[in-house]
Amino acid sequence: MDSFLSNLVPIIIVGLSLGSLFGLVGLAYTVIINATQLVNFGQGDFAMVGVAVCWALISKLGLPLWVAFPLAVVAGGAMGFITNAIIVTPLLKKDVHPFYPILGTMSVGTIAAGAVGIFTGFYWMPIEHFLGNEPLKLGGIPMDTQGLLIIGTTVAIVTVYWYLLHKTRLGLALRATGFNREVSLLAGIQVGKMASLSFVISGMIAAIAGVLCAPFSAFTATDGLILGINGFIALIVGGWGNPYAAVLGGILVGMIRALIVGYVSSAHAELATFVVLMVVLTIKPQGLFAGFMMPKTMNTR
Amino acid sequence: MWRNRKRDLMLICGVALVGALLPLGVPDFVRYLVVLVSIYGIAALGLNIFMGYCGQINLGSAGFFCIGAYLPTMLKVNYDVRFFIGFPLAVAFCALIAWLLSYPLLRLKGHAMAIGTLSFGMAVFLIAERFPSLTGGADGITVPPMVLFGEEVGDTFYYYLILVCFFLTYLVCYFLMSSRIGRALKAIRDDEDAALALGINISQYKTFAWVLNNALMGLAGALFAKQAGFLSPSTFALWTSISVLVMICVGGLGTNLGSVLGAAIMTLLPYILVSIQEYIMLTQGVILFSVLRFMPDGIVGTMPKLFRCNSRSKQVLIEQAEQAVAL
Amino acid sequence: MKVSRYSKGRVGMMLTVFMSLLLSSFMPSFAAEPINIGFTTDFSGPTATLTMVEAPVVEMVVKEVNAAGGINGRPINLIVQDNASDPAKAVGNAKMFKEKYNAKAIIAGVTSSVNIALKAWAEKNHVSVIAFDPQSDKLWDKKGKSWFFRSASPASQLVEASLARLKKLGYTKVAFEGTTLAWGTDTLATIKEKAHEYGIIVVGSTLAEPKTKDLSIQAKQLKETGAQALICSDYEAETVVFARALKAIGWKPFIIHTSAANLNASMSLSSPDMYEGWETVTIADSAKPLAQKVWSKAEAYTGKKIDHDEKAIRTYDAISLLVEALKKSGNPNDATAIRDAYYKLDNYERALGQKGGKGGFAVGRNHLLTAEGVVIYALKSGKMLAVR
Repeated sequence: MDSFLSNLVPIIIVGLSLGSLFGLVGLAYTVIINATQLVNFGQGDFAMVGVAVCWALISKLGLPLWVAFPLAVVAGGAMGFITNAIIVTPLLKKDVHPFYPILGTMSVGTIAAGAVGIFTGFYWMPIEHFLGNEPLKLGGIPMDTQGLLIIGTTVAIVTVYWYLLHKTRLGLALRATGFNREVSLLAGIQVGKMASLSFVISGMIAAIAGVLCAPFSAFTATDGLILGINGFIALIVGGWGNPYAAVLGGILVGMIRALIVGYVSSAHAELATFVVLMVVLTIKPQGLFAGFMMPKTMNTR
Repeated sequence: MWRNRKRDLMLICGVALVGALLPLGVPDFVRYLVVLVSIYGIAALGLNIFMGYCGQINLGSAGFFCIGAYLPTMLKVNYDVRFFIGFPLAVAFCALIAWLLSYPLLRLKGHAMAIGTLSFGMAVFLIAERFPSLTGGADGITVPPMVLFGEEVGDTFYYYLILVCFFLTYLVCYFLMSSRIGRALKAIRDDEDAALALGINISQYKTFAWVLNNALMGLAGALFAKQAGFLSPSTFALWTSISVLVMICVGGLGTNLGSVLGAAIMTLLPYILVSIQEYIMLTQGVILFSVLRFMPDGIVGTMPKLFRCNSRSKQVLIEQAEQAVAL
Repeated sequence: MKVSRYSKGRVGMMLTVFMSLLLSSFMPSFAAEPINIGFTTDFSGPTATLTMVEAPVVEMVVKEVNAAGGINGRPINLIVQDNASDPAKAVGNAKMFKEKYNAKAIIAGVTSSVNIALKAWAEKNHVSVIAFDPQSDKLWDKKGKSWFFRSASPASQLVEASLARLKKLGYTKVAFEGTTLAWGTDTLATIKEKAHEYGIIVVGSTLAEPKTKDLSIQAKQLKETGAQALICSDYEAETVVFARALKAIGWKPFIIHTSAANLNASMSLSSPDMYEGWETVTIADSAKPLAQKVWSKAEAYTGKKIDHDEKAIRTYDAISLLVEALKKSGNPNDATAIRDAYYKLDNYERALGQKGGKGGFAVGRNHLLTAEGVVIYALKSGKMLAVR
């Protein structure tokens, strides 16, 4: 029993930090979904752009991390703004296949990945651990500082987002836009601006997630996609359109991966993620925590 | 209507004839490209049924492509089952899996369907890569030669086999889409509620389109296996699903001709951009972006509009093209 | 209805014109003055990071040869094509090199699966392929002359050198960490097969998925097996993750990494002090003057610092052997003559191998351009020092 527990503690820590990361990306998706009901397939590439900017500023210009990180977040936001302005809004105005705006986000993501790839030669863009490589010892258990940082940041961002969404007029407008576009227009909400804002916020969150993740395992220009997919899985497992559910879903996925590694096989954690997702889609397609902390009306499509 | 169809059929026959005569006068490489375009054409036609006509989304087509390629190969390697039995088996097996998956997946809507199909595709890819006992693992596996009546099948025979498969697929898609079924699928795409009100059995038609899509994916995979001569899981990664999707968008969603045209353009692109390989990803992104943004109907949907507006420029373009061919 | 009829005919016509234009552009162009050489490797895909180091070396040598007047006055024209880690694409590229560009020799990079496919193609189509990356033991077979050559050392050679080193240092209980991809699983199989010959017991093993973000659970599991030493066969990013995991759980076993190329890249991706005391095996000997020359030339050419390991060396060897074979063949338009010329290159000076810069090259067992020995390097304060 003792060895079972001593095995479980690191598994929980790894699961939490990995899960928070996926949850953070899932949250970034949800911000856009809340305002426009669209899935941004370029989300992972937003994160990658954040990493690329941060890496370039640090390694090419020699800026310190605390300058480069905010600039990378700004770049992520700009990426979101551009995506919305050049493809999503124009396509929403046209009568096209409902999947076209989503493909549009993917095409912008591919262009970003291709452009960064040319710039870096598809080589690694490493970023050092923010707080150094030395593990932090808490009660005799060594913990990775970057993992703790990710958990902390996720909690902070979720709190800020919750405050924005539920305690400010802007949040009310954002929620209203996602709930019913036409009625919001009638109520005098600038729907277009809200959509644009949601893309900017989403890009910023994605960039934060990317830069926090980069020290774990270095990024190349094409690595955004898989991070984006993991975030998407978090969001679907958690619950459509519910930011808190997306984070919980992410943590659940992270936990399952860590448990599989700990007790089954290290080589099949990724496969397990997809199998779990398909099981969730079969038994509870609306997500496991769909109603968590959100009124029911927000989850409708 | 009939005259329209006659013209189309003549066109198809004409292209088929060109294809059939091609091996006589061109080098191996051109034949290889025709084969590659035909295989991806079959895949694109299949995906177009489900996405273009039925308006659903499938991001897991590479999974079926993979099963279609590996099944006959592994049957041959492990149990010495002949390819000519393995091919139809692969198609049937893909159809069976698609039918089984239709119960959980087709209940989903939009994005949930996207991620559901995507995760199936990824799961198949990971199984192919991580279970060497089943598939030969990441190192890949050599496809044994195809034997017919005790003799190894030559490239020419195989070329015609693929060509026949392609044109049969095209004809099936062509007639299907102008039939009752095609109209029902389009009705579902345009407005599901209205289609329901018209008495169309939505789930039945969706399942039909889904199964047909993935059976054709399986066929494309089976043909691909023999053509490539070597299978490795990396051929069937997520990017393959996306690129087939890009093909039908570029050509024109919801048109058979567009699917084939898109398949041709996207397949040949890397062979056109020789020696500037680092730009391929960017180019693919820019092509997809431009098509979505500036001609959402794809090439086939946009070209006629372009030419109707300005018949003079059309004339000039055709003259130029003729000159280029003459040169 | 009328509209659609009108348009379909037009579109069909356009299609025909388009296709015929396309086909005409793919017809081969004969009577080429330069010697066309195909170069296929991963410019995209999971192993594209290797190409970043290796492709410039190929270009460098070709430019050098052309600047010196080419081969019998004919310049080499390199046709570069991406295969995205996909064997099917690689074979397509090879077909294009042969048919469209009339190339009589091909140089190829990166993954073993790509090169297994290319080898099969080369044997059938009689165009020689020389590869500089693949290490898989599956690439050897076939009696008699082959059409496939490589300058990389086979994985088993490095594994056996690692096991010998562990035996010499007196370790008997060893665990393994490697990638889930073929390299890792193949290495593990070789270790399990050969370990008893060196009196070593494999007490545990774990495989890490590509792009994994945390390996501390796996590291803890390996620690609990009671292993005294570790063998590591993982790609650069995952090696970083593993090193960090070891640090996080506070375990410092003796580690030997079976690829100096990957370990070197890991060190440039993270702080090198994490690898203090690790050892690695390579066939690129920094004591060889030619090896030093290749590294400094490549650095001058790319304007960047490059890793001092086999990545640049084996690439340099492959392309310069190809150039030498072209020269020796007498007729660079004859694919068979080029293939046969590879077998006549016995005393050609190459960067791999050890005998004072000479020799070291022989078309040995199964057409491997063998290097003569494996050098062991230990990592001390961020530097690789040879263990003599």
